[in-house]
Parts: sequence; structure tokens; C-alpha cells
Amino acid sequence: MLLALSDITKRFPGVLALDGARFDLRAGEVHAFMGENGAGKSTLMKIASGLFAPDHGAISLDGEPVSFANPAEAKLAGIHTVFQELTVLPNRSVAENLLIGREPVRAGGLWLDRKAMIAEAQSILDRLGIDLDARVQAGGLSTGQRQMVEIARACAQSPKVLILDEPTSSLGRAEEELLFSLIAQLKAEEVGIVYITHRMSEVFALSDRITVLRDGRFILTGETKNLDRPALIRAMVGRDVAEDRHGLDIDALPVAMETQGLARDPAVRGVDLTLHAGEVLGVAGLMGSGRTELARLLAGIDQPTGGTMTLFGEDYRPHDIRAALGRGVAYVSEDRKGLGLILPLTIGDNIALPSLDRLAERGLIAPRRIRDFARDWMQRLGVKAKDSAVAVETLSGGNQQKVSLAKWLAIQPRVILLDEPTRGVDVGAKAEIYKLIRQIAADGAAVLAISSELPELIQISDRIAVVAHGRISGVVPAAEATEEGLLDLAFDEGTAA
Amino acid sequence: MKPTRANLADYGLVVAVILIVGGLMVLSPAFRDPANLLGIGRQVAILGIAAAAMTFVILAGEIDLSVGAVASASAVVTAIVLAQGWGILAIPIGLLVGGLFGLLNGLLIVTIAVPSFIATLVSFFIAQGVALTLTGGQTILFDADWFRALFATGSFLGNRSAFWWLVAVALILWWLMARTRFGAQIYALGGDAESASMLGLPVGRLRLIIFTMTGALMGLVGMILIARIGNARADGAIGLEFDAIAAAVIGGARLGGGYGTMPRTMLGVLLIGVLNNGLAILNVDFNTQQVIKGGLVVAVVLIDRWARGKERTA
Repeated sequence: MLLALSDITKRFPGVLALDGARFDLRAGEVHAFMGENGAGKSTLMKIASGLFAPDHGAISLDGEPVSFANPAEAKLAGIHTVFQELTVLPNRSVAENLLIGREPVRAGGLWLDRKAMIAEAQSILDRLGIDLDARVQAGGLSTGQRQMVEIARACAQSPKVLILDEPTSSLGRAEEELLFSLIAQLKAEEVGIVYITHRMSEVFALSDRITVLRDGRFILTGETKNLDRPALIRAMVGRDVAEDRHGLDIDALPVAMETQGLARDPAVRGVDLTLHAGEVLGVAGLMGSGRTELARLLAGIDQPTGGTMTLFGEDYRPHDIRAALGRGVAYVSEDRKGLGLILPLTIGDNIALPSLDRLAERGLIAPRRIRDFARDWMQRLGVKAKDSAVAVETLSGGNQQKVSLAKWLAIQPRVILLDEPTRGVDVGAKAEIYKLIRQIAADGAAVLAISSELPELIQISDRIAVVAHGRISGVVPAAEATEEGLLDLAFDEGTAA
Repeated sequence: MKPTRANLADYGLVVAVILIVGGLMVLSPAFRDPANLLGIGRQVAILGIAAAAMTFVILAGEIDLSVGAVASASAVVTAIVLAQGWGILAIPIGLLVGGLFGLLNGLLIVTIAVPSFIATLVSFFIAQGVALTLTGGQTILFDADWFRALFATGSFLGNRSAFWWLVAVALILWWLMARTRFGAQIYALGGDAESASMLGLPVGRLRLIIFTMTGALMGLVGMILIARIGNARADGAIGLEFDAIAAAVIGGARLGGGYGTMPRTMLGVLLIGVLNNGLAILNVDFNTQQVIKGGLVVAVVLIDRWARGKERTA
């Protein structure tokens, strides 16, 4: 056995994150590691990579017991991790990022050898087939490119064990394929790979074995070929998740928002779209297709360079987010941390934030009012936390997303724009968020939901609009949509010109 | 994508220095006197060393509000040692006093996780208290011509020794920052402290080294200060922290950490030095000079942002 973690227990203030968890890894295998958010996958892997020390339990590498005081020791032992939280430094070049801590030096370490550094970094990138210039600043890279830098950094250090935590969550299709071929190559070199992901398709395509963790406890380890999707979902959530479809008669619904020839160079190039009150309109599209840019136009974050928008029949041209909110249009961003939530604040403060005007009396705020208000919304959305005074940063991804939704629903918007509403959220919480999204629409709001996951769109939407090359390449009723059909539209070359 | 960043902001600063120097040379014969131009070099020695150290601190994503008070306290201790006739021992003692205050900053920040703003504010008060207690509010006089020559007044290659100390410190810190693995780690730390620690960099040790080094350099600043004027006061270098921050920011260092270079900080120092000198020669009073300095910082930040905006769309 290459790496074995046995009977690991880890307690954080207030939570038992791991409760006798175990995981083992063979050389030359891809071992998928699954479980809901908050199940303890990341915590266990952070223990394996020296970031946390376990309260109890043993780690062995190549049969020898080991313990790591810090990430540097784990790396020295050959365990390299690509964390979900990207550790690419924005103020440094790609080369400096790749070779951090082992920069080539001259004169006995007194001088950095920049030429050698750039040459070495470029040769790593070229060897791995990553199309990047080693000299560019990492701050200017896309999230997907940063992810590739992160992966290259780990691969370049001839790892024994490579831990990938949700590596594809920000990758485009081409980068994804590159990653998969890298994984195959590492596998052939007898590297053991731990692959944490929420994407079933990847699990079945890539992995040799699967381990499932639930609530910090070990549930099962099995050969991938002996497991199937329903079995895994049952193992992760402890119940079956229903998959059904919707399809309202949209002609009976009032038009909430309409765009004509909406454009913003160069990403959005003439979008005609109709969104009805009471429907969920799914938006599909590849990364870089312009789907997020489109939502930002609707939300008033960016200004269009052409075209018109109307809101319930009236002219709509918000000059910023505030103006859009004033008209009842709310945007729940893809990046919960960046735009959506103020992490150190409590759940209550976060939920109440956009509604403060309504909650305040003559500029003053009664804490009890906020608490009751927040409690009400936490209950409606099923936020799992002790009370509204818990800081948002301590919640799991799914609960954070619910708080983010609650905060915007609390202002009772007429139109709500959701960008990747379940990104990084586990299966069980996903099902709950789907139900919430349907409920929002049933209550009369117009919902536009962007997602990279086609099964998700098919499940939550009434209709699905596909964006390709900055235009709508097709709108399909969810009842008739297939993943293949949607992908076909997403790759549509007819709109490219 | 172009591999090198558009250097508009760099050039902007150089152009500003050239325009101001050129303008002052046209306006004032006293300014263009070579003796005056050389004099600027030693006038900025103290600010320059403080700004060089501050650049390191800012680069690491921290701030040091104690530099003026620590330099003053070291100056007072050094002057007392000199007045006691202990001679050359004054030098290590002065550096040690500064270094200890720096170490205190570092320990507060690293071991009990106090933000540097607070930790260095604490040191500021302690250093001021120590200096005031030692001087009893009096000016400390000392008599040591060798000391004054070594740190400020002596002539070497056409300029005063104070200037050469600045050159030495700036070169060494530039080398540390731009040409060593230590410097690369400081950039990483300032760019994203959390990532740096996940990458296995010795984050605590790096912070400790930076603050201790800055403290020791403030010991040197204290010595240059008293060598120049021949006596020491408890408030000798108070306010230096703000000028040092201003010079680093004018040079393009960002308070969030991760950005800043030594040559550009030195340009910032030069700009402030030239401006102070020129405005004094033109008989602009000190208070007005302060207002102009404030305006300059705002202007540089705006130009920097403008240049960066261009860079992104380029």
C-alpha cells in the first residue's frame, strides 16, 4: 500500500470533522474520493498533506508510519496536493509560481538564476502540453489557467502521491482533456492519485476505486466497476435523490424580462431572450461562451454596448447593481466568496444586509428584528446551523449557498439571476437547492439559472437557452432536452461568424 | 498576451522626476547649483533607508508604524553611550536596540497573531516611552567626531557618508528582494499569505526576519540622524514612518502586499527629496510643502491606476 490513513479523528471547535475515517491508496491507481460537502474529504486530504495534524489515527507511506508537521514535510515525502483553494500567487510570474521554494540559484544560493528559472518552467509547461508563457504574471490568467499552473507545479516535482481536490471545477473542456491525459501519464508512472470530485461522469471515466465518506465517517471503498451511480448517491446521502423534469406552459406566463440584440464587445454579441415570471430559464454554454457576461449585463454590473432590455414592459437600463436591485433584479454570483457573502459576518447579518433599509426604523436596527428575520429565512431555505449568530465562513459550501440565496430572496426580487447555483455543493444539498429554485419560480419570480452541469439544467429548468460565441444558439424545452442535444448547440459553429 | 507588463507606471514616475527636476532647475539658480544637487543625496539618506525597509515590510503585506519612534529611541541610547565615552560600542548597541524593537514587533505578530498595524503601534508607544524616560525631555549632547564622520559628515568620493550608507542599504535590500530566494518568498507571502503557508513557506520566520531587520535598520537611521546634527532628542525621527510609507507608495508599492520594487521606491524617495529641497529654496513654507506631498501621493496612485487599467486592456 502506497498511502494509508487509518482511524483518523479530527475535531474543530464545535464540529467533529472526521470520526475514525480511513483511506488507502495504491501506486498507479486513480482513487476517487467522494462525499457531500462537509463530509470531511478535504479535511482528510489536508491531514495527508501536512496542513492539519490529526487528533487521533495513523498515517503510513510505503508501509512506514509517518507524521507531517507542515506541508513542506509532506512534499519532501512525495505527497503533493492541488487544493481547491488555488494557491497560485497573482503577483508572481508563472515561472516563479511553478518553482516556488526551489528556484534555481547561482553562487551558492546568493543569486536567483532567472534565466534558468524561466527556461525550466517553460520546459515543464511544454512537456505537460500546457499552452502558457512562463513569463506572464499569474494575476492575468483565467481561473482555469491558474488551475493548470497549480497542477503543473505538483506534477513537476515527481510526486509519489498526487491529491487533486475538485480539479475540473474551473477548467474548460480542452484543459479538462489535458488534465485527464496527464492523469493517465502519471498513472503509468506508478503515481497514486487521489481524485476528489462531485462529478459522477469523471468518477466513472477515470477512477479505479472509489471511497465514500459521510459525516466524517468511512462508508465504503470499492472497485469502480462494481459500483453504479445510484449506489454512490445512496452511499453519499443515505437516500435516493429523485430526478424529475418540469415544463410550464410559458405562453400563459407574463413576460418579465426581454432583451433584443443585447451586446457587449467582445463576449456578448447580440442576444434575444425572453424570460417569463414564474419560469426557470436554464442557460447552458461552454466556458467563455459569454453566458456569465450576459448575466452581468442583466444584473447591471456591466453596461451593454448595444441592444435593448425591458423589464415588465418598461425600459430597463440599470447603470449599476444598485439600480438593478431597485427595479427588483437580483444576481447571485458564481463566486460566493468574492461577491456574494461577507464571510466573517454572521448568517443573520448576511441575510439582512440587502434588506437593512426595510428592517431599519429611522436608521436604527433592532438586533431582535434581524434575528427573527434571519431565522425565518434560514428556516424557509433549510440552512443548517446552530443559530443565526454563526459566522458564514464556518458553514459548508451548500449552506453558504443557501445563505446567499436567502439574502437575495429576502428582498423579494421579481427577477433572480443565478450563476452556477450549486458550484462546489454536494449531492444532498443540491437536491434541496433545486427544490428551492423551483419554489422561487412557483412563488411568481422569474428565474434565470446558469450552470455548467447539463443534468442540473435539465432537472431544474422549464426551458434551456444555450449560449455559444456570445449568441443564443437555441432554446429547448427541458422536457425534450438531452445532454447530447444541448452540447451540440453549445459547440454550435453557426453562430461563430 | 505580452510577457512583460506595460511599464507605463514606471516611466510615469521617471517622467515626473525629470519634469520636476527640470522645472526647478529653470526656476531656481540656487537649485541647479551642483553643491545643492549633491546635497539632496544626503538629505534623503534617512528617509531613503526607512523607505527601503518599509518597502520590504509593505511587500510582505504588513505595515510598520514604529520606525520613527524606534529610530528615535535607538538614537537616544546611542547618544547616551557615546556621551558615556564607550566609543565604538555605541554602534552595536544602537543596532541592537533597534533590532530588539523589531523583534518585539515580529513576535507580537507571529506568536500571538496581532495585526502588524497594532503590534507596531504598541512598539511605537513603548519606544517613545523609553526615549522620553531616558532623555527626561532634554537634548542629549555627545562629543564624538569620528562617529559623526562615519555616519554623516565625512566626505567620500564627492559625497557625504550618510549618502553612501543609503546607497549600501538600498543595494543590499534590492539584492535581497529581487535576486534571492528569500526575496521571492517575501513576494509570495505578500501576494497571498494563505497560499504561501499552504505551499510550505516558513511564513512566521519570514515575518520575524523582516521586522527584526527593519528594526536594526532603524538603529542605523538613528545613528545617521544624531551624527548629522550632533545631538539626540526623544522625538528626533517621529513622523518618519509616514514619509517612508509615502515614498514606497509613490514608488508603486501596494499596501495589500506583493507589489513594490527597490528602484521605484528610491525614485519615490528622490521625488520627495527633490520636492522638499526645491520648495524650500523657492521659499515655500513647510506647511504648504506637506500639502503638496499629500497631493503628490494621490496623484501617483491615480496615475498608477490609470496605467494599470491600460495594461489590462492592452
